[in-house]
Amino acid sequence: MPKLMRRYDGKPGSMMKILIVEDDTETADYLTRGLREAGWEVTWHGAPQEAMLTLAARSFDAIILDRMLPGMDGVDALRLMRGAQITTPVLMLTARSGIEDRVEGLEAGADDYLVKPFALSELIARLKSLARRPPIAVEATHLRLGDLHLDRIARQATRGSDRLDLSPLEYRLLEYLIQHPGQVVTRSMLLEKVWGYRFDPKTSLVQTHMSRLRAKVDKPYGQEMIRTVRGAGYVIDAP
Amino acid sequence: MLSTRHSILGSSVFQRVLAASGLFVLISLAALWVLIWIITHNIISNQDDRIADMLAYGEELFYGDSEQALIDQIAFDDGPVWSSDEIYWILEEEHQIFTFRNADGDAVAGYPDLWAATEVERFVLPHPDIEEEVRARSVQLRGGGTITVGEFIPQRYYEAVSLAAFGTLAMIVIVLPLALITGFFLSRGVFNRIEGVSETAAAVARGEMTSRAPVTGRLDEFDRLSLGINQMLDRVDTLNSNIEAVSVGVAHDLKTPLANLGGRLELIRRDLQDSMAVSAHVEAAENHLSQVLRIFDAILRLGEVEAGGRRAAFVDVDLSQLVRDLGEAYAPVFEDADKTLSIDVAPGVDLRGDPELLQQLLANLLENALEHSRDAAKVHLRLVRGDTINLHVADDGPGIAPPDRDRIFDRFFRADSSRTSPGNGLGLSLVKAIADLHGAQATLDPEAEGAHFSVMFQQDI
Repeated sequence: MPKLMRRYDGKPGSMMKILIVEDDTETADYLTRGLREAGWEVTWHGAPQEAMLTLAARSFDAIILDRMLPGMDGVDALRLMRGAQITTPVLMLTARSGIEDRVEGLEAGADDYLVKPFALSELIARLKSLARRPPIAVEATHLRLGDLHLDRIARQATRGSDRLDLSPLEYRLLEYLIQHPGQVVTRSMLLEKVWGYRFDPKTSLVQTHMSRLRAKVDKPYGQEMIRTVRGAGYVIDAP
Repeated sequence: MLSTRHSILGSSVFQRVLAASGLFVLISLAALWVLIWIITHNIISNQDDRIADMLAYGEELFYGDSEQALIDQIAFDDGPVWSSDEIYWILEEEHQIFTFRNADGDAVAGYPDLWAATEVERFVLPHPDIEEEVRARSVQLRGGGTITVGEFIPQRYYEAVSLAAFGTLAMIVIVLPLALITGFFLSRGVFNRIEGVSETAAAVARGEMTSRAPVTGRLDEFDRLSLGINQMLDRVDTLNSNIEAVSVGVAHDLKTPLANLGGRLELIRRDLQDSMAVSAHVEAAENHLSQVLRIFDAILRLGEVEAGGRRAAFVDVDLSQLVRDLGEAYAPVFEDADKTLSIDVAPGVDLRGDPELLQQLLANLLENALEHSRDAAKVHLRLVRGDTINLHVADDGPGIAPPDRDRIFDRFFRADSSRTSPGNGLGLSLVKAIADLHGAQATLDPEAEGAHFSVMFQQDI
């Protein structure tokens, strides 16, 4: 298992503190083990009331909150937390049924949403994206990674001295990737954040566009910046 | 037949007809008897009044004038005491009979055989030849004499009484059996019609799903009942076969990936020492599992869409933008599959709907075209605005075989009956469900060369 987890960029030193609020012990066990093996510090509570007490005493990088909890709806628990000025990013988990659920959760202040069952890699990628988000979103006009440069006003990408001829969609994909350097970005994250699609395409929609993007960004330069993480997604790094 | 007749006699219609007839007879009899009682009572009290008047007149003559004046009034031409022959005339003319007796009780004038108490009594008048009833009363005179006045009971009285008797008899002997017969035939008519429906229900309960209630074509209430039940049975039949198709489809589509998953687990056990092989097996197993989950996802989403709950979340959607974006997203995928997707979108088409579901609808149509069109196919995506808003996804062959066209939107239907091609047979049913939710019609053009799918939305204005 540890060998498998190394794929998810579990660097030591980046010890993240995660609070899990989940009443199903099997799911909680699976999450706790998976996240600990990724090198994170995990605290688990089965009931939202206990979680609130812990939250009053300690701070966390992110909270995983189940939608269905005993005695209290996850959405209500979330409203309570937000009411108590707890701004920790929250990722909500829900059973595979309601599309309405997601809207309600996001409105109550959830930062992201994941439908059960999900791959651990997907959860880890999303948690990293949440926890490392700057507290105040500064809209930089220029993004830089290695010799790759994005001018967000002209919507123009250059590598070294070459202007890259990207389609608007390819530009948006690259922009999203470059905002998460060194992090795994999953296919469904790209679908949601770049396209705004919530369905799961049967076809290789993401792969097709990513391979076109990589053909333009990486292929002519010999030095790969975008890598595929098998079974998980993509990661961009300075060469 | 015997058992049927038993059932008819026990049927609620028959019992109601019987009860109603019985009640009718009772009420009629009561009315008849009350009427007859009023008539006879009237006759008798009139008679008693006349007798009383005449007695008073007799007393007036006796006390006011003289005994002789009374006798003169009673006497016929041939003497004061009446012979029995005179009674015939009295009877004929409906006159009264008088008797005046002295203190010794001898009849001084009138009919000597008329005796009566001081209260009115009814009796047969003593007479050698006739036997007729009279009502009569006497008054005692001062000095010991009596005046008696009698009157024959009139024929009208006997007629009224016999009418009551005859009426009662007629009701019991004629009306009751008639009611029984009417009730029987009426119930049999209703019974046979109802029985047809009951037999159908029983047959369906036994599992003969094709059984239908008889319809006579008279379009009366029974025909309406039968037609209603038949419609219901047709609908149940359709739903039933849908469920059957879905169950078989689910079972079939889940079996393959689950079997593959099992196979991979076995391979993992075999290759435990070889970590490279194990990780390859795990990846393959994950793919099989996600295939299973995808099927469940599609079923659940289909259920959610069909329940119609999402209509509340409708917003204004820029359909032109949505179609263009999806078309552009999918065009490279078509290219990689050596097919082409041409996009022709009318600008500025808006409608109210659920953008997420509309994206899914179009994506499913595009993926369907991608998977099932011929090699190097040309696929056209068009959004046209006319009287309606029409979204078309059409390829240039080979199209769909005519027998499959009607079922193409059914759940788990696949034109490829071996079920080996990708897909789960839910994509197009989801297209139809989403179209229905938006009040739109999803159709397959039967005239077109290739597979030509259209979704027709009503303009909202």
